[in-house]
Amino acid sequence: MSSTLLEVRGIVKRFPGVLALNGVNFDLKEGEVHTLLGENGAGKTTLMNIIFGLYKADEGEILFRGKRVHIKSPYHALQLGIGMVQQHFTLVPSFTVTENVSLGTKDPPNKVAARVKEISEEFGLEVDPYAKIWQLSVGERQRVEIIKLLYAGAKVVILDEPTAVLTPQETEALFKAVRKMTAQGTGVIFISHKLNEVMEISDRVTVLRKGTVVGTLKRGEFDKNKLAQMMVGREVVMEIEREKAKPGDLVIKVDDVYAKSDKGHLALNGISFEIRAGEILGIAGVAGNGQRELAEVITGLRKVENGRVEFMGRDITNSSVIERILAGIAYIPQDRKGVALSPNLSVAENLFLRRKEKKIWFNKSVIYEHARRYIDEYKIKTPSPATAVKYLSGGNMQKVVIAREFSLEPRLIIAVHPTRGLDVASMEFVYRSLIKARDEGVAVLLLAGELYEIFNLSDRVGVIYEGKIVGYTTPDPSPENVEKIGLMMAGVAV
Amino acid sequence: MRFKLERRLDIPKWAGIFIPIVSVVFSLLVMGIVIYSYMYSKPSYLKRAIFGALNEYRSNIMRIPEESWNRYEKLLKAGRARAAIAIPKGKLSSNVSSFAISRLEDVFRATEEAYKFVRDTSESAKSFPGDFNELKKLHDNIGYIVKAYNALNRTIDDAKSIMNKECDCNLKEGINSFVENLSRIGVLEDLVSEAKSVDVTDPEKAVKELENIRSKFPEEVKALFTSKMESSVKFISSRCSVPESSWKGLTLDYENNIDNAISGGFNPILFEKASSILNSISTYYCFAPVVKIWNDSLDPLRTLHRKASIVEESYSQLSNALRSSQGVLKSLEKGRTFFVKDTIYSMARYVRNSYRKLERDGFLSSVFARRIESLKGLYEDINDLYKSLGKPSDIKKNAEQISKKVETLSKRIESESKGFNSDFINVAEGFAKDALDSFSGIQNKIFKRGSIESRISEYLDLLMDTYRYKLEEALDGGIDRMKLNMAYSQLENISRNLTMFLRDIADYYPSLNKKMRLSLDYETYVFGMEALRTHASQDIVYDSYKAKDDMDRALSGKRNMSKEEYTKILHGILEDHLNRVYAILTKLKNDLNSLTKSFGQVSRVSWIAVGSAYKQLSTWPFIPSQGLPDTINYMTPLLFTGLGLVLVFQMKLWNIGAEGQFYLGVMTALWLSLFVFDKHPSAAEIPVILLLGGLAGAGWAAIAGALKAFLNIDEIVSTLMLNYIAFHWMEYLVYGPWKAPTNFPETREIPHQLFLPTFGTSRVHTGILIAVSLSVVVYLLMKKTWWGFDLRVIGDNPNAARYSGVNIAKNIVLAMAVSGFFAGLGGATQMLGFEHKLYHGYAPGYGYTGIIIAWLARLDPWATILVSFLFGGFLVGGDQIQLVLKLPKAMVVAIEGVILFSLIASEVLFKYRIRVVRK
Repeated sequence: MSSTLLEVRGIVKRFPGVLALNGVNFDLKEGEVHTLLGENGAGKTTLMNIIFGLYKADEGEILFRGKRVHIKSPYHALQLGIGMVQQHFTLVPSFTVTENVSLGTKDPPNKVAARVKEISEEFGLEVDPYAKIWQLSVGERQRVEIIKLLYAGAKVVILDEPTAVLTPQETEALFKAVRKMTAQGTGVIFISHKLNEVMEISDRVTVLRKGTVVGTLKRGEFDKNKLAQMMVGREVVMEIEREKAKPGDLVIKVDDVYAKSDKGHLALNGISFEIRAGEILGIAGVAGNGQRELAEVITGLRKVENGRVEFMGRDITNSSVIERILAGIAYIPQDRKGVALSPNLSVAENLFLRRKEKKIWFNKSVIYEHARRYIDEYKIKTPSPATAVKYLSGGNMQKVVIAREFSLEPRLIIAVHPTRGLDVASMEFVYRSLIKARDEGVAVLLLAGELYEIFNLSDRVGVIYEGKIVGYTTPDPSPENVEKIGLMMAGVAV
Repeated sequence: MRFKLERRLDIPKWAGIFIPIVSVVFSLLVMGIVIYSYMYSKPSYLKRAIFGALNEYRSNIMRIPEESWNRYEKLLKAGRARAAIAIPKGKLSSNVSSFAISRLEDVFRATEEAYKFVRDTSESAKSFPGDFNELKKLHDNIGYIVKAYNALNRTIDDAKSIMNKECDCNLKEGINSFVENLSRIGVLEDLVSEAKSVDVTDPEKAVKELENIRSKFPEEVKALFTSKMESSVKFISSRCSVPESSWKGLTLDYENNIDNAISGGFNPILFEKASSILNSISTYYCFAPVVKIWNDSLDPLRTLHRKASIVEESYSQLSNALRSSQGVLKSLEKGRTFFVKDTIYSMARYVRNSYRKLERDGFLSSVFARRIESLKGLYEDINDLYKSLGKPSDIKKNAEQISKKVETLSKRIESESKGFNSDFINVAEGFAKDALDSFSGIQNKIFKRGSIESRISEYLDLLMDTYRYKLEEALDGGIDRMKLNMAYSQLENISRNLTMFLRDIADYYPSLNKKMRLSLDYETYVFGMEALRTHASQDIVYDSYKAKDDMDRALSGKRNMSKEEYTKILHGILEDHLNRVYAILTKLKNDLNSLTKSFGQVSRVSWIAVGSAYKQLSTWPFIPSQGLPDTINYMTPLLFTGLGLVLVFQMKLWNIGAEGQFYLGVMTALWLSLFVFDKHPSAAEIPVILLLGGLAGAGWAAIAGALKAFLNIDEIVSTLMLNYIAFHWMEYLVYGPWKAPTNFPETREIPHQLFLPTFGTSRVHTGILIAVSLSVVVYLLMKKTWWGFDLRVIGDNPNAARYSGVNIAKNIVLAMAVSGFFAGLGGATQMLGFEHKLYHGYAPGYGYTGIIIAWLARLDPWATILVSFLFGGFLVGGDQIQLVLKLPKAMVVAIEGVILFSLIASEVLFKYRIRVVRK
């Protein structure tokens, strides 16, 4: 058995208001690929940043080759032999490959160039040593980053979601290089939430969930289904009483829609579904499979590449945001502070951020009057309507968003992770609001990561995988159904 | 332990008001410190320059051979010996009383004369120059001239009435009134005699003659005033060594007023005005300091004189007593007893008077304390004797006894008198010395004061010429050229520095004084400085002449001496001269030093300057009769640019280009005024020009807006670059196609029909009304429309704006254009209301200052009005400080920068909190 290169024990890291890592144990042996798997916000990147010296752990220790170390900075980490390829590359665009590699060293350029060539041949990381960085493709830049680490003699290489930016061919090449590196005894920490790749490359997989290690599995012990279940979790927090849905007319029809992500890759891959009035469609899936893009396509924030969106029988594929608001599409985004609210504006003003009437004059007193009504109705806890919304708690912020969106008298509500970060009472409020809307004949599209949330609210459950609905099932929390959903989340049509 | 910056979760509410106030206060503090150091360094720098030059001069002189130093010392000794003889000796033999008395009388006479001389000179100083004084008197008596003129008119009217047989008036009365009034003040004698000779019996002829007088009268009066003024002006400019230019304006004003007064029918109010101008000339420029010097110097001498006369009187009373006692003895001897009792009574009274006079003066009563005691005893004894005397018959009976008693008393009086002498003689020397010192002190001051009459630079030039002459001679004689050359060049340096320094001080402090209304001390100080300097210069010149004479004399009689002898003589004389010059300069240095010191340190002056700077800044710009109109005119463009920036800054769009947008407005307005509407300019076109100016600014800003919205090009950079383009475009126009046919790179002035109207007769133009009404518009846009709301959302969270369906790109372009419209409108308003033409280097910086204003106002349109008003005041006050304290212009700009800097810096401190972390 090969020896342990790196080991972390009991790492705890707190950010203001958040416990990012809670007693994480993790180790890496020579010549293995150890994958760190988890949803966005599970703590993968935080853990890696601690290992790379960007953050300091509040508790716990790091051992490198069995010796306890305090990693002070990335430079220090690199000196020890720990390198990291971050999601955002750290290259100087106007320098050549060789110049970038030689940064921080005192080696003569011709020697560096020769060595770069050597490394690129040895590991199959093809790149021209004299090309300027800005001339290179994203995949080539990633190779330069890896060459940089190998040149510096890194024994531990951390790859933070390396495939997110790569084409399938580039991914294939990367995996080849990774295998050559491990063959020479280098340990690779691979971060991803793409199950296929994880299955392909990993020797071991550690699943993180909400800052804690759910489990570490060896090759042979894991399959896609199991990993998906571990990532998403299965606890059910509460049962909400609700009547059976009485689906009415067709409200929205999404027909074979393609759309690109911010990074320029196809995030929606011919997705199609329908929702009727008085029905909640819950869409489950591992994060990053096109949920956000789907919501944005329907609300008009993202351009549709191909396909058709129909709302109440009208084609709205190319309508503006305003037109869709007027038509009755409400949207509860995942990111409350970043998207749904204007933090420095008052509660009252935020209640009118999205509005139906198009008037010129802004009458403060009328707005405040309405705002007071909403505050009473939705029991928003705020000192006054004039308080800046950023001073409110997360639950009350979400109440502001819900109050505003519901006041638009919507025919369709799109809710993305509507209870993320909320306490139990606020959660219940959100659930009841959505069910009440459904009962009033509103179509609801619920995009949630937590299965229990899907089970609690949905009338139908669809599973999204790589920008496509893999299949539908019932909101039945029985183990068989959960297993079925897990399989579909892993991309297996059942 | 270390410090940690920690982000505050919420910014305290008071920060909104607190930050701007703290920033401004901080900046003003910085300003105070800067002004202080500036003022402090200015005089002390010059002082250093002088002393440095002196030291170098000294070291060069020191290289001149030892021999000449010895000669110098000998000369000094000889001078001291002569001086010792010159000092009158008050110390006298106490045994020889008559001699003592005569010496004492000498002293008295000397002080008396000194006092008289000083008093006379002082009187003449007070009243000089004669013409000036007469002019003043003329003004005091202006009523008589007016009365005379009225009488003349009345008489002419009367004479005409007589001709028309309308009245039976007496012409003689009117003519008499005319003559009397003029004679009372003794002016216009020709006209008076003409009037006297008018024949009152023939009204027709009288009218002719009187009208002739009347036609001459105004011109004569005017000639009277102006000729006196002219000679006064000449006198003042020579006597007070004040450059004529500095009060030329006042004299012109004066003459104008006189002109108007006369042509306005002898208007007494205008005469009054002229008179007040005259007063200010005399107070500010010449006489007040002179009179003060005189009065100050006279006081000790007056005191001294009073004391001396007291002692003299006291002594003479004692002599009287002695004489009386001798009279008594004689009477008794001859048996004439009738007056004996009265005479003894007189004796007692004389003695009493003698000591009482001394007693009354604090100083003398202490010096003569013992003498007063014994004189009191003497008085008691004489009084006892007097009381014991009976009738004259009784006295006759006891004549022998009384005679004996009187004789002892007489002897006592004599001995007291002698003792008195010795007492007095002891202090007389001190008296004499004091008197002479005081006198010579005054003489010094008179001398110095008098020397101001001549111009300093003339002295220096003379000094230099003499020097050069001497030097040439010296070179002929074979003196060490190098050393002398060096000494010479140093001397030149000194003179130059002196001139610079003193001119600087003379320019600097009086203006400070006048503007700041400081005490008269300043003028005394300045004149003192100048006096010292001219005194020194004069001494040097005289010495140069003396040296030259010495040489002439030494050489004249001895034609056949050898070259060596010739050289030696010249050498000696020149060295002596140099040494004396050095002594004079050293003294000057010390005097300057002590003068400055006694005046109370440059530091105090600097503090006063700082105080005055704050006072100017806080009062001048806000007083309607002073800087308020300028403040409002400054405020107008600032308000325009500030408002535009408030609008875009609240959506976090950093438009740094208000300056360039302002220029576009300026250029458009000028173009329209000069080339489009120049044929038939009328006020109706003003709104069109303003509107188009605004649109030009809007277009300019929209360029940067579009670049930002569609290509995501940083607006800070693009707006800044556009500023430069606009500026150089404007420069091109000013130098090129729009240049007016003059020698200067400037354009023609716009037609006056296109000037913005002003408020009444003030210089405030109505642009301020537009600007203030625009803040209402901005307020409405920002707070009362959904558009303003959208802009705020864009500024706060662009994602939320997009999520709300706001078209961000469109709004960026639109908001930039509106902001540019405001700046352009401001530029057009400034052109029509204030500048009226463009000239080379026009870069007022209103666009940049607008940034500071928008921040200080915390992006509130109402606060922008207040802040731009205060900032306008700040700029005007800054100009005022420049004028009064002669500070560089960069100072005010620098303070603006400090304000912005502290605003931004304090912003960080309010967002973060500094915490001490223990490890």
